[in-house]
Amino acid sequence: MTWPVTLKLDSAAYPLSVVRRAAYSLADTVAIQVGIETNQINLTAHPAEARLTLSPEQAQTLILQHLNDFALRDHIYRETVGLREVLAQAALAGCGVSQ
Amino acid sequence: MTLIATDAKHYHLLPFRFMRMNTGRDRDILLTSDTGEYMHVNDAQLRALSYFDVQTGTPFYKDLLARHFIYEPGRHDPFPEMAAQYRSRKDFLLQGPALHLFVVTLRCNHTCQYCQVSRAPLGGAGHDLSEANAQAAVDRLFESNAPALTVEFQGGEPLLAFERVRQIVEWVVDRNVVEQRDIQFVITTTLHHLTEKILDFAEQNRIQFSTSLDGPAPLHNANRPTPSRDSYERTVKGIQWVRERLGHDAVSALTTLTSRSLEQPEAIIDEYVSQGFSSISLRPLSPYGFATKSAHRLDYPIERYLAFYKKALAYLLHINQQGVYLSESYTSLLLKNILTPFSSGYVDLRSPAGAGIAALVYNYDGYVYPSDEARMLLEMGEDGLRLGTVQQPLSELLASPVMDALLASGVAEALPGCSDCALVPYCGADPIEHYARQADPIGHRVFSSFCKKNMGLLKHVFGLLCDGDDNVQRVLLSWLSRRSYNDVRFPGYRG
Repeated sequence: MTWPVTLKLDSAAYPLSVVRRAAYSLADTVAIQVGIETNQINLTAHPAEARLTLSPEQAQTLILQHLNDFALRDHIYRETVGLREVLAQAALAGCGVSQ
Repeated sequence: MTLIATDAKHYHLLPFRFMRMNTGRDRDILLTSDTGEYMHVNDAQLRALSYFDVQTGTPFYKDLLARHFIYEPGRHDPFPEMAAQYRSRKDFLLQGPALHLFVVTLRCNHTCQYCQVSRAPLGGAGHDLSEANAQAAVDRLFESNAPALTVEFQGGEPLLAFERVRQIVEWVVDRNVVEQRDIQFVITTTLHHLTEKILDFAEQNRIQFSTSLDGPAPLHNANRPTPSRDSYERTVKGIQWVRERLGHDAVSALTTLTSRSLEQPEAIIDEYVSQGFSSISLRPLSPYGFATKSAHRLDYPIERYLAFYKKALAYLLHINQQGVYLSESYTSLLLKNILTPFSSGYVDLRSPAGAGIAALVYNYDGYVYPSDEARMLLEMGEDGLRLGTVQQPLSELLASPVMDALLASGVAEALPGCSDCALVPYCGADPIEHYARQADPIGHRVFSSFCKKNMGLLKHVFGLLCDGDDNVQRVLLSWLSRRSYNDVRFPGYRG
């Protein structure tokens, strides 16, 4: 495997918001170009710095781990959607602050 | 036909975040809730939790339930308890600004290269806070609804304008007969210009002194040049004088770490021990004012600071086990955020950000700033962070467009990067630092020194809490509870 590292993702498994968050979190390591096709998201990753010692294989593993972690965060978010707002409202109501 | 909705899940998730700590441990993943509860888990546990596969009645299940990562609908309602916890963590939001900094003069006898604020020569004219502006600032102070107020005098060297300090203290004390607030006075000073008269006044009004001590004489004097080259000797003499007159705890000290300081953590700590301090603050250089102009000589990458800090902390943990009580103040604040339901209240570790909400700076020229750092940006040619003038009412100052901008970029839970970070319940937002370093109050977390510093330190503290032996735990708990090492008997909380 050589640079740039390319990945083709199923957008059902990795929604665009997940891909964007993963790309943001890796910005100091790899610069990721995101391309969108029907049901597919293409990633092209370049080293963020010329002196980067990460191999393309390591980069691919790192990107995939971040993608999977952000996909899991997305799942947790969907399971708990609205609860943070309920919590904040309950906290504010308890000290006499209404919405 | 009747439809019966069924829910196969025996528990529901509550909002939580996770982070890989990269420690090599089995339970390497940190889970945190919005209320600050935390657990260490492994990959299998995280997936089981997230996909409703944790078996009821297991210790892991009970832990998740107790720490509000899950709940059982219809069986237990966690929200009242969580709301109370959340309210405790954010209780600073229910008060107005509590820290009021009066910049009574810019005049100073030092010529420190890293000085974060503008300074004027000793005899410089037009660099002192006027009486009219000082009086207006006292009005603003009492317009805050905070029950506890800190009035801090800064400079330049505030003791060079002691008559203005005296006036302000007297006005505040007079007004407080009616206002009945809990007021603390602090003078941030080199202590070089102390007199018996000043100490008499400080004694009458229970004024605290905060000074700068950068380490042993060669380091301190190199960092803080004066024409007589005796900054260290005069500061140490001042410390002793304050203690003799006002008591041992009437003076505290802060350290400014230059590049050369990072080479001698033990020497700096030994100096604090020999001067009898019980707390040391190992803070990195800020990217403001003159510090930026001299950055190529004095500044350092945050990674170098973190390496210094870990070495210094290890040494502190070691000497505390030998019977010395010397806590590191930032670690103590982080411990409070991690191990208690309360916020440390420290301005830099608040979300929403503390600038303006928690603190106001009344500059010598009558302008008001949301933080000391915001006025320091003046030295970079940036005056856009003014809230207004001291003659405007507090309500108007806090409704300024600058406050809108700071609040829009100052809620960590809503910032890119931070919103997914498991450390966010213990961290804060600093739009002014990001504006100074990245020309953007939101900034990019991956390139943020603020983020690298807090993430590095929080991870290190979590590592000590998780892996530190009983003696390390006892030292950390002694800092948290402000008790001596020998008074802490319990091995600690491992989460």
